[in-house]
Amino acid sequence: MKDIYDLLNDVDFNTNDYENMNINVDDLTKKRLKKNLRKNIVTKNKHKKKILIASLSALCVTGLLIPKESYVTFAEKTPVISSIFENFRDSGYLGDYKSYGQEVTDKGFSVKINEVILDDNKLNFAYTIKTNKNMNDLCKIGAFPFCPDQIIKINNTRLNVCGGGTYKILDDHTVKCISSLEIVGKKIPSRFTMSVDLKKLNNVKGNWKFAFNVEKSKIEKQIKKFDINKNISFKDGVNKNIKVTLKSFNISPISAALNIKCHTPINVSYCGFIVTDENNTQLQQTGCSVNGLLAEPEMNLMFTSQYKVPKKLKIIPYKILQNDGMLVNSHIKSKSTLSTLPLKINQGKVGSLTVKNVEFKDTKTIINYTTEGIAPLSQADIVLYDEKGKTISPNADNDFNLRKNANNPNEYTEEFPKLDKNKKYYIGTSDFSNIYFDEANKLEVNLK
Amino acid sequence: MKITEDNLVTQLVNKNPKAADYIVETYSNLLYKIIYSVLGVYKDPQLIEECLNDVFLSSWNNINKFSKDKCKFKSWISAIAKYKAIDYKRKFSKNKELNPLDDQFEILNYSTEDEILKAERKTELIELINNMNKIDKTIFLKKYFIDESVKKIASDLNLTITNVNTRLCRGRKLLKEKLILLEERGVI
Repeated sequence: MKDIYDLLNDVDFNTNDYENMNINVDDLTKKRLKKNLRKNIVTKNKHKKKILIASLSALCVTGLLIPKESYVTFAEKTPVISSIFENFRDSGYLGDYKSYGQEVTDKGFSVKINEVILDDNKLNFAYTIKTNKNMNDLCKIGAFPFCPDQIIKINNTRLNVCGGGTYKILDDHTVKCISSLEIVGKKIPSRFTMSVDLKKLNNVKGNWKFAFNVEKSKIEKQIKKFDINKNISFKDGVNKNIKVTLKSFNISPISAALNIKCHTPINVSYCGFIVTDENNTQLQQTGCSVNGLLAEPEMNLMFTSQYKVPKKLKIIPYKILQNDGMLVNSHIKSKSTLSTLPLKINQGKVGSLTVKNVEFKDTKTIINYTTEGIAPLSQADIVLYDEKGKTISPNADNDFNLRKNANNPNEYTEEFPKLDKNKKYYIGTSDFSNIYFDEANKLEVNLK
Repeated sequence: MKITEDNLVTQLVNKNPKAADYIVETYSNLLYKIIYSVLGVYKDPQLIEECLNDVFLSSWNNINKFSKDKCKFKSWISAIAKYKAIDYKRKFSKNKELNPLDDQFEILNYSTEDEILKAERKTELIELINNMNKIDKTIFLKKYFIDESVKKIASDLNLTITNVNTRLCRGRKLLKEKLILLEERGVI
């Protein structure tokens, strides 16, 4: 059956009118675009997709300064919960495990709901799909193994939220998935009945329905909520006055969120916030939802789960400088090569980035570096160039998580293909000339 | 394997991630300009970048729909960019909430109530447009899907403005007649 993409072959698009427009996408933006695209496609070893499941009242956006990892990974990488699956299986962590362990088979696909976990910000449920078809081939196309048409109900009321997910192909016929839904602001009771109707798999309609009881009493004990209720006023990138109240911060082993009430309309293309803890470690933001339907919009900044509960938070508003709707180029390149280490690059008023060492291995090259400054994680965005000025993309199986060591969160690592140590390479990064961090209007809060 | 313009489509079909990097590296500037020409009025670079992300992902997911016999990859991905940008503009515009396909129903003076029926009509509409003769199809797509002016269409295709308008009018009439026929037959 033909669709619009078939039709567009016949448009015979003339690009001449655009060739002379004076717009150039800088290398940092291209890198961001490449990473966004890679996150949504299948590679040999990496299995992540972002699927917008449903969104009615909340606009789910990612802010410009959100660094790298934007998806829930398998919890093996999270020290607090070593494995969602392991914890559930051993301790019967949540609810009536046996009832949602049932397997439903239809149209050649067998589906089993394995686990459910939720805090005040995210609801993650894990499921397994088995089929006689080749799972690697199925996962290459479209949304599979995720189900954008799925209907989730909590106590028989439909849950309309944004979501994403990750998956792991276990063998040629089996895939395990985690669907992650953003439930900030949704008042979900401690005990509830959840129903999942996947509707379609691989674009095939079928009957994969589940209903089970869930309780979050155990994780509720680990959810910490801190009331803040303090105001910040600042100007955004188009010089508009912005006034917000930082309402609360909540954190659990699976996520963290800062709840903000906006007393003026807010455009995340023109401003945002970075959050650091008492050690100047920047919290890793995964997304931002804005409920624009309210008279005073509510914004929720989402973060990855933190390794420990912070004692203090510093919230700094920033404005994104505008250039008539076009991207402002803030890209800089090192003058020295990677053969001169440590290699320090000045990032303007924001701070600096220092490449400490480079490991030239048989199959890859690892660049280790640190940042110092106002927004250490946002500063950790690098581009690698060869001596001809051509960009070198990071390894295809790079998981985009630059922080490899939980004990040293301001040390970063990025992996590239095997490089020739006898050749010259340069590092590019941002000098943040397009961003103004309004430290004069920052807010520091003690969490207690 | 190094990705080049010659092997790009094959590598996209094979889902080689390096091909994904290549299209970003090669086409970002052009596609940004196309999208900016539509969405720049909102002075929102994040909106443009979001649309650009969508274009790259759509071209990756739908590469099997690209036909090298009909056009070059550059033309196809550029058309996707213009189409998506117009779609984004409609979504963010207060006055219009229709996508180009919905607009076709407006143009054909259809009113639809049932979502399922509407979806089926869209499918049939695409098939009917696809079955138009080549020149009429190109004119129709340029005008109603990527919002090019009649003057530009005429210039690009070496036709007169009158000729383009005539073909558009004829195309609209033909589509409407065929859709009515399909309804009468109970196909939709």
